[in-house]
This record gives sequence, structure tokens and C-alpha cells, in this order.
Amino acid sequence: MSAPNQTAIAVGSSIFARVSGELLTCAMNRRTKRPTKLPNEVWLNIFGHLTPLQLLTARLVCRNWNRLVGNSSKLLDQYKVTVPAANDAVVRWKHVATSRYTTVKVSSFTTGMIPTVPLTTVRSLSLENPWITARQMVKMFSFLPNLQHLSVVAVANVNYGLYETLPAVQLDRLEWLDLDLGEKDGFLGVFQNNCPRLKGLQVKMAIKKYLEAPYGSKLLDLINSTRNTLMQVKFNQIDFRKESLLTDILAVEGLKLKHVTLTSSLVRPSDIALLCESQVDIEGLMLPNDNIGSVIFTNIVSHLPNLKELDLHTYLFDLLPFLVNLPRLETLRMFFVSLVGQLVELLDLSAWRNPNLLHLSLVGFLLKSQTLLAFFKSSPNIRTLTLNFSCTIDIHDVLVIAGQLKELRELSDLTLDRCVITDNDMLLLVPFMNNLTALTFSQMLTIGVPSGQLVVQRCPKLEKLTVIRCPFFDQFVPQRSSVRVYMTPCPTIIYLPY
Amino acid sequence: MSTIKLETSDGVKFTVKTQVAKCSGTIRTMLEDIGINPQDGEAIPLSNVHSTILQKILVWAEHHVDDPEPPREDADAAKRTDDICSWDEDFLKVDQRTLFDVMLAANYLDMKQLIAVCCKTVANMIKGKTADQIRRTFNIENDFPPGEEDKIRLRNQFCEERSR
Repeated sequence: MSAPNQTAIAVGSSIFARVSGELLTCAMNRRTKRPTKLPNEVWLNIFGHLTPLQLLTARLVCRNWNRLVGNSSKLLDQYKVTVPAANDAVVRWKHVATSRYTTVKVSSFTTGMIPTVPLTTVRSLSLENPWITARQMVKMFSFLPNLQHLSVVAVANVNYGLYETLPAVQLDRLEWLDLDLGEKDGFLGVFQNNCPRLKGLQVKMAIKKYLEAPYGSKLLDLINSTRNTLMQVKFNQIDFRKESLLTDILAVEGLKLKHVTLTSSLVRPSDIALLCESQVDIEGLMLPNDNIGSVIFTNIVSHLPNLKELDLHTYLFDLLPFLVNLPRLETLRMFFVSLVGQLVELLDLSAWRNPNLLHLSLVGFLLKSQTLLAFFKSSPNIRTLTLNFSCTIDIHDVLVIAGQLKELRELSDLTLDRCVITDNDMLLLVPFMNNLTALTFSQMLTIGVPSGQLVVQRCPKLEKLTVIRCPFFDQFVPQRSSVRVYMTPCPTIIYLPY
Repeated sequence: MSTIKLETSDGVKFTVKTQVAKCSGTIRTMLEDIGINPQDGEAIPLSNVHSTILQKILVWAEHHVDDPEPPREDADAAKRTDDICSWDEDFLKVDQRTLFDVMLAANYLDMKQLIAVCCKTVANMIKGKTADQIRRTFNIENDFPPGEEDKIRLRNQFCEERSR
């Protein structure tokens, strides 16, 4: 054991107890003097811990680092490249083609911006406000052989020509299609029979715009042609009341939908019954202005227990038996519409416990503050609260509720609509608004500029103040510039609710 | 308690608890798959690792030997660099060359947790620095031809973080 080469070092609980200082110095001296170079795989591991912005700086360090980042699809996958509406769009596309970016966004897409080179790495493309013909759009798809996710916002600007037959395009790998169709749905035809792997379809229409005649046939055809792969559909602002479109979609043979989301879409009661029976996992349901009664409500809660978003009009006030059966609800908007001659009673949610609930909007209900308070205590995660009190809760109740807002630590968004409170009352309210980021005064006839300045000064997190038709907010300028104020002026004739 | 012997590039032999040695994927593979029998008294040669570095790595392995298997992290959690435990932080307060040598050895020995914590440490050395400061930190030569840096900057100016 004389030479260090033969020394055995025991590593146990008392590690290196037997290592002599001499040995360590000796070993240290034998380490090579030239600096250690890390292998590329280790550098890539390190780069994986950087944010996209830091990574861009790293690319400027040396050729090797630039090459390493530029060749890593995994790292480049974090980026979205924007192709700007500028003269150098062609250059930009060339860059996209030669680098390995996977996600591209094109804003204000015009004729001159159609790529002329194959973009084999692009898997996700988002087009905003395209001003081109459908033929040109289809031509562009031929340069995107690996596209998996396509999103087009405001397709309305696509001039697709009513009688034009479009060249066939194969989007072999497209899995997600997200179209904001605007006013016309003809563009859907482009994708029919061309998307053999489509899993998800999201279609949004401009509000109050109807699908082309025969009603919704383009949508139905597209779903029909993708029925073997389609699993998820999201419909936004589509009016399903006009014809049996939703019924027809659900009846497509071989279609196995797992998720259906109807956001701001209007459906018929008979469609709801069908939806409930069809065993699809619906997460969002917005019901039409039809006044929902207990039969449909029972149908909904017994068949759609996984609802996350519910928006309905009802004449029921004993809602607790229904709501307790929707434990996953995150967003609830309810409008109370009383029947003629109906005896209206209190809405009592005090026994409803739902920690998942984030957004609550109650309009027109007869509410008592004490029962509301009990409800808030058991559903403490509410972030957005809209209470349209109409004439059913007076200032004392508002104060009591506001006083309890401290129970709602997360409450960030409060709307007060037609509540009778004065500027002095606001003084009492603000201490409970510490976490508010958004506040709306709507048709508040008894408060004015002093209240506006008060909330701006005293709500430290307030970012957005909306004032809708409040007559005493003329010439209101917030004293803190970080607060954005949105004003809807008061009409000359003041609408008096009382 | 079973031990095995490891021999470093400079010929130093270490007697190590088998359990500690198995923190290294490379050694684990040798013992389990290739079937090297530690009872033979033969030392496992680690020709790429110097004794000073192995000693340091064994200190780390000894401390972390009872760590549970890390959970499969999602991409976002893996990006974090502010979750280095204070013991590791102190452990890695060494000169850069030693740090890099440890990383090189950890890479060779296939010690994923050690590599991860080292990579986070290096990432923290990159964060918040300009390209020039990074070069000075790691003693990297700027080997771009004139104008190339501006080109890269120009080419990537429209990249932004993708929302997920």
C-alpha cells in the first residue's frame, strides 16, 4: 500500500476517511491541464432549461451553439414564428423552410405572402385575417405536407367563389382544424374528403350568421367524411335551432365523439335530449333562450355529469337538487325568467359546495345575501362574479356580501349592475376589494366620479374598469395610468329600471 | 454489506458500497446485464474518470443514494432551474472546470439526476447574460464571420414563445 496506485479508498458512512491529503494532491496534479469540453448532448440538455428568449441569445454565442439549437426540433418546437405582412415575406418563408421551426403564425395573410418553397418542418400553422382566394389557400396547403394543426381566424375574408370547384388538396396529417368562419361556411368544403386523420374540429361563426343552405350541409359533409377519426368537436356561436343539424351530426354512422363543446351555440330542447342519450362526454353546454324546466334539467344532470360550463335560462328557483349533481362545473351562468303568474321564491345556493366553480353569473334571481354568503364560504375559488341584483337586494345586502368578499381570496372580477349604492357606500366597500383586477359598474345611477377615483386609488391590483351607462361618470379620468377604463356613455334618455 | 471496487483513469482504486455505485447507470448495467461479479475482487475500470472527480461524484451519490425515483416530469416542470436543493447547490459551488469534469463523468457514468442538477446550474450561469458575457463566462471564442451575428438576430427576430 505504499504507492498511491494501489491504495484502496473505502467509501462508507465515513467516506474518504482513509484518504491522505498527500494522495489527493498527487491525484489532482495528474488531471490534464486543457479545459474540459462538454459534449453536444450535454449542451442540448442545458439549453433545454432555457426560455425561448434566452435561447435566442445563446444562438449568438458561437457557431456550434447556433448549430446545436438550430438543428434541434425539440428546442425550436417552443417557438412560434410570425411571418409579418411585409415585403420580405418571401425571405421569411425561405427562413422557415431552411430552419426547423414547427409553429408558424401569419398575420394579415395576403396574396403576396403565399409561400413558394416546401415547408416540410411546419406542423402547426395559424393564419390571421387571410385576404386571399380559396384556390390560393389550397395551393399553399400543398407546400405544407406535414401540417398537423391548422387554425384560420376570420375566414370571411377568403374569397372562395361560390361556383368555383377547388383543386383537391391532401392534408394527410392534419389532426386539428380550427376555423373562425366569420359570416360564411362555404370554406368548410375545402377540407371535405381531404383530412383522413382529423381528430378535432372547431368551428366558430360570426354571431347571428346562419350557415348556408341547405342548412349546415357543408359542416355535416365534413364531419361525415372524417367520421372514422373525429373524436372532438367544438361549436362556437352556431345556431342549431334552425334545422335538425345537431341531430343529424350526432346520427352520423360510425362517428364516435368523445367531447362535444357547445359554446354560445343555440340548441333545441329535443337536441338536448338526444345529446344526453348519445353518451358523448359533453363539457360545455349553452342552452337557448327556451326557458328550461325540470324535465330537461333532470335530463342534463343525469346524463352529462362531466359538464364544466353551463349557461341557461330557467324559470326554476329550486336549483340545488340539479346543481349538486354537476360536481365538475367551472362556469355557471344562469338567467332567471319567470313565467307569467309565477310565484317567485328565493334562490338558495347555501348548501351547494363546489370548490371547482370559478365563474358565476346570476341574473334576475331573487337572492338573499345570507344564503349567498353561505354559498361563498363553501365555494371559495370563485374568480369572476356577476350579480345582477335587479331590485331584489338592497345596499345593506350588497355591503354584507362585499364584507364577505375577503372570504373569496381569489375574486378578481366583480360586476355590479343596477345596484342602488352611493359614493359613501363605496367607501365602505373598497377595503374588501384588494384582489380585484376587473370591476364593472353597469347602469349605476347613484354613484359617480368619486367612486371611480376611489376604486382606482384603493384597489391596488385593479387593471380594468368598465363603466356602462352610468350618468355621473362623465369626464372620468383615472388618476392611475395603469388602469384601463372602458366607458359606454349614457344615452340622453336615461333608462330607469325602477 | 456488499462493496465493489472501481479503478479510475489515474489508477486509484475505490471500494464503494454496491448500492452507491448503482447510482451510475453504466455501473448498474455492467453488474446486472454484463454480469461482472463484484466478489471477484477485480476492480471495474472507469477509464474516463479521474480519481478527484470520482471522489466528488461518490460524495454526491452517497448523499442521494436513498432518493426516490424522480417522477416523470412534464416539459414545463423540467424547464425549471430554481428547484436545486441547497445541498446540491453547495456541492456544485466549485470552479467551472471541476463542474464540467463532474458533468462529463456523470454523463459517462449515466447518472441522470446528477446531470440534471448540473445542467440546471450551468443554465443558471447562462440566464440573464448577453452573448458576450456568456462567452466570457465559458471562455468561448466568437467564431462567427463578421456580420453573421446580425444575420442570426435578423432571422430570428420574429420568433416568440409559443403559448401552450
